[in-house]
Amino acid sequence: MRPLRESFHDFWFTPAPAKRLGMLRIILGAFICLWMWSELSDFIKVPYTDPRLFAPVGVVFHGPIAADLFPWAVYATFGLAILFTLGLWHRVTGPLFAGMFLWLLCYRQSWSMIYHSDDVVVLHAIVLGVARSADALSLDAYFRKRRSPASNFSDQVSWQYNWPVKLMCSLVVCSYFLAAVAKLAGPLGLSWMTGENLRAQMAVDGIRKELLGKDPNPFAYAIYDKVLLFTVLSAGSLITELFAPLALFNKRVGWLWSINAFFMHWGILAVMHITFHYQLSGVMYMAFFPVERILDLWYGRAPEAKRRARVPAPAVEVDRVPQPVGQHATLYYDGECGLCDRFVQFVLRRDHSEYFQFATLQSEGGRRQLATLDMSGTDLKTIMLVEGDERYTRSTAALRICRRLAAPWPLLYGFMVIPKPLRDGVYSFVAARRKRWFPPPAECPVMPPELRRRFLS
Amino acid sequence: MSLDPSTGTNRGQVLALCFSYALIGAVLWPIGQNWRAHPKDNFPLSYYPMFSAKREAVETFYYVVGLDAEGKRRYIPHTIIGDGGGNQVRRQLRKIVNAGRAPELAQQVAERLARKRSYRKIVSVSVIRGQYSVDDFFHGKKDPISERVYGFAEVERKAAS
Repeated sequence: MRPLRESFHDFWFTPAPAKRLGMLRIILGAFICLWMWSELSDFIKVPYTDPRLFAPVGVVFHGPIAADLFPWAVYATFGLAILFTLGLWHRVTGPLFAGMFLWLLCYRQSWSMIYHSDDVVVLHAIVLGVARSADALSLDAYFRKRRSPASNFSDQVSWQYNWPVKLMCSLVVCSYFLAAVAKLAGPLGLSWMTGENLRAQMAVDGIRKELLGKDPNPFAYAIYDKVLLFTVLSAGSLITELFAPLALFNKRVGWLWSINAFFMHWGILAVMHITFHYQLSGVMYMAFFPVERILDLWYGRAPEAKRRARVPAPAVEVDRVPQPVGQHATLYYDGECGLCDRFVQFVLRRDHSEYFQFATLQSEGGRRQLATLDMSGTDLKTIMLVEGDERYTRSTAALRICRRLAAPWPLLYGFMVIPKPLRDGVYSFVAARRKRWFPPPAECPVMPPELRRRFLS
Repeated sequence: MSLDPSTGTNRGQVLALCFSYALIGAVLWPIGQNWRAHPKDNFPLSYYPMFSAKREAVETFYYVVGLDAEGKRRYIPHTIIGDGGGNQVRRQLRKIVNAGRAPELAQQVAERLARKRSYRKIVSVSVIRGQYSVDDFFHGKKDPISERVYGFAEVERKAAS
């Protein structure tokens, strides 16, 4: 067994792409800019609150500052947030923004109310502010590339881009874990899970809001007597919080946990009308995902397609069998299946970079290729995708194909978080009935040569 | 630390680890508040006490009520009572009442209402600490079990010119 220290080192410092950190900086920065903009009037009103209500928290160690000065602090932080998002002079503006943002939120919360939903956003800003989050996808990277193409870090993969991501994830799970400990260490202990207290919390919150002039929440009234529902919600939320640290140790668990926590906050919004902006937006959980792939999904294919369009295509004999190498993947499918045929047509229309080639499981070319891959016995009900050295079948193959298509189809790749046996169960159910539900076309359409060359005959 | 990220040094990794440990340690530090007699929350290093408190069948609330000439009640929204969100105003209200400054607040709210056309029927304002049965409230019995007025002010409007 590898020493724990070594495993931790690998976990924290495994090389990651600079673009991941750059993308996280853009997403967080954009969120903060939008959030500050929408709350600007509330921010500006802060210094006009009764100074006798001032109780400093966090890094605020002084009394209320001059009311005329405060708006300038807000505007300066907002300006720095824009520079942080753009990644301009990041070595200076990153830490400066993190510091100003921390002070501003501490000052805002020094008036008798701590908003726990803002904790993690400011911690994430600190991490990305001090890390090398502007080495890619930033104005710094753009200017650096113009000055000296050799010193461009945009496509770099390094440990320096991984630890901040792991730290962001750790801070998220720590906050949930602390919330679970507070519940278990509180007066109710494990009995918090019965749901009675959550129901009472919801009711008290609803009464407070009504007594402060808000309209009653009809949803809260509708579910108030459903005690079992509150038991399920309580147990679910406590488990989500208590086992949050597990999300760090497996990619898929991290995804599932993030999605679960995300929906938990939407549930809280529905039941209690409590708005946790950072959590509800989903931005809080972005560090758990390979966010740099948004670029590939959104516009990464387009430049590739344009580049291909500019370079004259080599003369290809229509009947020649192209080999599935390099930037191609080959999809093997049942050539006598109506559903498979429609799926292939669907892929052809949306695969603008011509990434996929196709072969029927019955064709000579397809059989020959499968034989070389030692996959001669592939069942006709199974679609197979060969991508480089990797082979994928059934639902995994279908979802991986969607991942390479034009937007918005790559979003379907999110279904990969569903356990494979479950996905393949649905796949097999449809595959077994495919010929009944989707009879094969009576006649094959004539394909233009540029499409025909993508089929192994 | 090396400028080129591909040639990161051990020193760089040590610094990154120190920073990470420090931040995670700081975030976990408030966990000890759970076992203190008088826990104190903070920002951004919180022990996340939300939803952990035990709720009773009868709970105490602080609010401001406006009365019209016929004695009909109307709860005054938090946006008129103070600045900030609903929860912030609720906490400030409790703090003001406990500090004995409810009459001052009642006067301020009365002055604000006097300037609002939508509240022209309100003739007086009371800052109240009331007790409600939570279960009864959610089953339609919305009257308080008991109330105590801590501050009172009449809404004085200038005659229309």
